[in-house]
Amino acid sequence: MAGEPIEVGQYVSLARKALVNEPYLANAAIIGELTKLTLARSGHSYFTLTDEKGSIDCVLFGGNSMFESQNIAVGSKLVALGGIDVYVKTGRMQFKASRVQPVQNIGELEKARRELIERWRKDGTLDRPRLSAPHIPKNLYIITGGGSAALADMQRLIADRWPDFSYTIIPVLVQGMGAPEQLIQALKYAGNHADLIIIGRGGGSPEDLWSFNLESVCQAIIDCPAPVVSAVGHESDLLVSDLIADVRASTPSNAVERVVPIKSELLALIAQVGDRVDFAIDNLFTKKNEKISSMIIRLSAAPMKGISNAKLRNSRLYSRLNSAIERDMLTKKNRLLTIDSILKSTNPERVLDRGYSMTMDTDGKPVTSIAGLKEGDLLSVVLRDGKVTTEVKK
Amino acid sequence: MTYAEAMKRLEEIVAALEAGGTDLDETLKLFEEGSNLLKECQKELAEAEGKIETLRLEDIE
Repeated sequence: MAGEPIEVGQYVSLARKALVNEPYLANAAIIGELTKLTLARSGHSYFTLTDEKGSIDCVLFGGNSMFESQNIAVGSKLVALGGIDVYVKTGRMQFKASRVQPVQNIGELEKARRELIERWRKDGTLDRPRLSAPHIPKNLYIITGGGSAALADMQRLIADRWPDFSYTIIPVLVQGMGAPEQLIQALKYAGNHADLIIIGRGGGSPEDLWSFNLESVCQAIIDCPAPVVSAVGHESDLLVSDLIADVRASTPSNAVERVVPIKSELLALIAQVGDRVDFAIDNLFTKKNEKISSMIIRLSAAPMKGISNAKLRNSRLYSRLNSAIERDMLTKKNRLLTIDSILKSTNPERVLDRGYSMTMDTDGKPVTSIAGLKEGDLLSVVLRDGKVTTEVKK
Repeated sequence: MTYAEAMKRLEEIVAALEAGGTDLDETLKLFEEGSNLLKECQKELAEAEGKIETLRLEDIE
């Protein structure tokens, strides 16, 4: 049920409100070819921007001088900053521009890029020490185009390598006039929250990738307190961001391959180490067992009087020891429980509990023999609940 | 201790146990340390898991 009919004007107003309140549409930089331009007598400029996929009518109030001062004419490639609007009276959507700027040609951009690399090579920025990526990132941030193919590729790959892997995405504009600003803003935020950042985008024309050649964006990567992986374009694209990032990945997918481990491999490795520990322990106890066995065999073979009795006793002893050791090995496998009980049995206080006492001389040194003791010497005797001083009588 | 450090220490422990020659006390100590490190590593893996979050630039000003 569509509900009560509403007036056209009200409907268009609602639509306008929805569009105007969408931040990505309200504050954007769009790039396209100037296909129509009217400089009205009022001083306002009405123009149309077009590319292969779309076209939009634009208005720049009082913009005539801006067009004229920059020698912008039909056929120029243009960046317009502004936001979407709807002219309610006609229901026509238009882009309300606040600024327009011709796109610099690639020759000038390339020159600026080369100068930047040269400067950073000379001042050592290119050779600065890099941060290393954590083995297992626990706070991975991905900064890339929202809804982009590059993001979809990365997400698919992460899910393959480690299902349930946790990470954060900050969608940004990766090309056009608003891109540098958004990339920098996202980097600043992620730098304070991430333990690793992937910043990048999929392939495109040199102009499309240009944000990653800009000094402002690259400086933000350099200043970032968390390690940054630069993952821009295709394998053959080499951007300034690739030269200064902590890790260079050839593509967004390659970035994931480099920093997100394959969970099953990690688990296998951990299990393997665990098995080696168990095996080594078993081996050690088996060796001790063998040592005792061989002593018993030597003992029982000793040519002595009453040998048969000794043999009998020893063979009993042997089997008792053997089974005791077997039991012991089993309990050793029972890990910490055993360790705990051994610790307790060697704890002197426990010994005192059982009625033994510890004797010390006046210096507090343990007395283990009567040698050296004479009548009248004072001794301390430590019992379970305290200490008494005694005198040697004889 | 990071995961990488824990794995490195585990390698040392395994090597020491495999070489033998340690007395019972030392063996048990190594065994205990190794068991704890293995648990740590597994915990580390669990800590990397959770949800996928998307932040909007307007929300992180």
